[in-house]
Amino acid sequence: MKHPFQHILLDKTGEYFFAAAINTVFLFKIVKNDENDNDTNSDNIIENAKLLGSWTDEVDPYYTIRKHHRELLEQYEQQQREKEEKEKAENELSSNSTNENNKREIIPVEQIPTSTKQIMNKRPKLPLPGPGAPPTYTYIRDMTLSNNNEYLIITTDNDKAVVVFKINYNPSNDNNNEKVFNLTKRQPMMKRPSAICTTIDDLNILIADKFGDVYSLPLNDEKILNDNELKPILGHVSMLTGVYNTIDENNNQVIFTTDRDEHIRISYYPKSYVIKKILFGHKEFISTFILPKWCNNNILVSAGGDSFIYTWLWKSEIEGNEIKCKFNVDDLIKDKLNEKHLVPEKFQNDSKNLVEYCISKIIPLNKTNQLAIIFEKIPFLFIFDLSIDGELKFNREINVINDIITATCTNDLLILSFNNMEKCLNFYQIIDNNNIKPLENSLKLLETINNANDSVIGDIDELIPLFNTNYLRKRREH
Amino acid sequence: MSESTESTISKRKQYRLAKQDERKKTVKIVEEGNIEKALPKKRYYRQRAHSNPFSDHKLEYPTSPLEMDWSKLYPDSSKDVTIADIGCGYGGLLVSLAEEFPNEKILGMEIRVQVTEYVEERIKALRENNGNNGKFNNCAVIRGNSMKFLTNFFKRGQLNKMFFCFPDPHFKQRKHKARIITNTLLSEYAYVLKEGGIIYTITDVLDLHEWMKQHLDDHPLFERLSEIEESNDKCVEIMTNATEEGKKVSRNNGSKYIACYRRLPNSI
Repeated sequence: MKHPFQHILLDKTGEYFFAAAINTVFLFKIVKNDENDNDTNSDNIIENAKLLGSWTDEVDPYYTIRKHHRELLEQYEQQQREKEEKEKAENELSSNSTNENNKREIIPVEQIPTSTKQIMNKRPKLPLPGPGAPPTYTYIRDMTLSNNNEYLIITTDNDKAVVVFKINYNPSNDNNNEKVFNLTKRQPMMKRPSAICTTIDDLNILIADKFGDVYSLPLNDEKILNDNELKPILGHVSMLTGVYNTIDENNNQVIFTTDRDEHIRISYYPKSYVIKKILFGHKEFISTFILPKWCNNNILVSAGGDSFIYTWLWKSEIEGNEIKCKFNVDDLIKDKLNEKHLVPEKFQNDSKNLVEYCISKIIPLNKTNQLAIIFEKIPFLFIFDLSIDGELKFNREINVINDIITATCTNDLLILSFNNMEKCLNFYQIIDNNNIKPLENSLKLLETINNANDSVIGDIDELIPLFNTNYLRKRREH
Repeated sequence: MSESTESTISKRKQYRLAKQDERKKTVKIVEEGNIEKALPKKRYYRQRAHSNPFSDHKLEYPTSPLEMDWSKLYPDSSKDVTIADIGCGYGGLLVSLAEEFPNEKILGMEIRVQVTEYVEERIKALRENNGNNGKFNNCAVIRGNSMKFLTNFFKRGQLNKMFFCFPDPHFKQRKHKARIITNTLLSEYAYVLKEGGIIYTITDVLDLHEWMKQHLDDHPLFERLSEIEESNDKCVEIMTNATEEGKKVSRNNGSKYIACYRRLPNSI
């Protein structure tokens, strides 16, 4: 069976479509029918797609284990060398004088160094995982485009890397060697990247990781940095779920970071050591946030593991007064919850009916000033109206065929991704505020994309984790 | 133990053994004066010295500093907390600071449950022994993870002083992010400290001292106090002699390393 797309991304022009399945990313050109040129009434109709190219990540699945092993080996060899030298020195010493110092010597505390590496007596073996070990995945965790559309940046699971491609959108047909995905660098990080973006000027990539740190790396520089050359520019002590760079009311650059501990932090950039403010309100993890274009950068919309979608006047001068709107989604969602939303047994109540849900993604619909909201494992898309000043109003829900993995959108086109063999993607045309309709004649388009997808799995067990958001929920045990 | 096996013991273990030896020598705090209510005994509140700051403990913390109900902690909650003792342990410094600064409000934060309970009892007993005349009403303790939730308690620029006394050294390289002073956490401390506010650090571990100094020196929002300023600061004196850990180090004639830094103005 074909593996569904865990990430999809329309470029800024809406002409190109990136889709990632397991460890391969595909680039399609969306083909429009221009026979209707004379028909002034209708736009060009999307008809088909053309595969421009693909890239498959062939990283060693045991990358991390081998890296760790290499470090251990180096350590071991270093220790062996030191030991030999010491023994040699001692032999010389003992031949000269009698050694009375057989008692245990108490080392003064101040002489104990902080980097206490374990002393190894045996040469370390490569610790390959046994049969019961959890599966390791080699897959594309996330992808984003630079603001100028030229670079695709993906993050990988296995080697925790950030991979940068310069995209050639117009490969010539004559020259087969001309690549679409031109890898410019692969930078492994110390901790798994959990969110990425490029700075407004596309000079740097901002990488937020699972440990709560944010790194800034030049986008264009091909140089790979070592672990000790990587210094965080800011950090939370909590897994980061989002990072975004924009400009504040005084024309200063700022970075938004959100975490698993309910915080939305705004720091200045590049002086990222100065915290501008923190937006307080969420009671659970924050999984997604956006600054919709039509609100002129004044409004932040955030959501995650609690019952509320917040809109924030984040530039508000009075601190603690930023919340514009706090929309309770419980009533919208409560009838749609099912056994997939039951709390894990360990944390379940006596009547075994405790449920939980979360929002996994907010997609701005620029054409209609609306938000499309995905709740994890709920086969509906929820449409909200968002006014320029941040007022949020429920518009309607759209019933879809399956639970939505993810979605992407440009002005007129909205694409949803599903775990569904016949229809892994759904295409919608955005007409106006009250009309988002399935794209007519999208069969050919779907077929082309589906045929191009050569990420095939034998069994449902081999699916990579598609619905990860609710795992962000904290289980407070002690 | 012979010289060669000695070297096979990890440095961490050596440190731990040294600490263990110290602990065997009986530790008692002698409180002065005619005591009516017995102070809690530390031996009933002992807890492992380490706690994982990254795990999701069952913690209570306000959604925002504005929502914090301080009246549960302080009989008089008209004034804001201005002094924070991060990782206050058994509360020796907290109590001394309360006496030294009767007009300021002091909060101790401690991540270990039992230890926090001890300090709660200790403060309660001290208040009662003073006939509930208001003495020690200006200090309190909460269980919390300051590395994650400090900004949930304190507003921007609320604090005058922050104390980091004998923090967990987290020896392993891998665990360095768990240290209480890192360049990223310092930005949070700078956020809750007012301009001119002071961070006090003291440790008996030279490497940790070097680490803290290095990170504070590197941070653009902090500047080290001069030697004269440090030696004239009453808090330095208290911090060196009042904490349980400090007393313990003195008893063993260990060294104490001090570094204090002033919060500089933002330059945005």
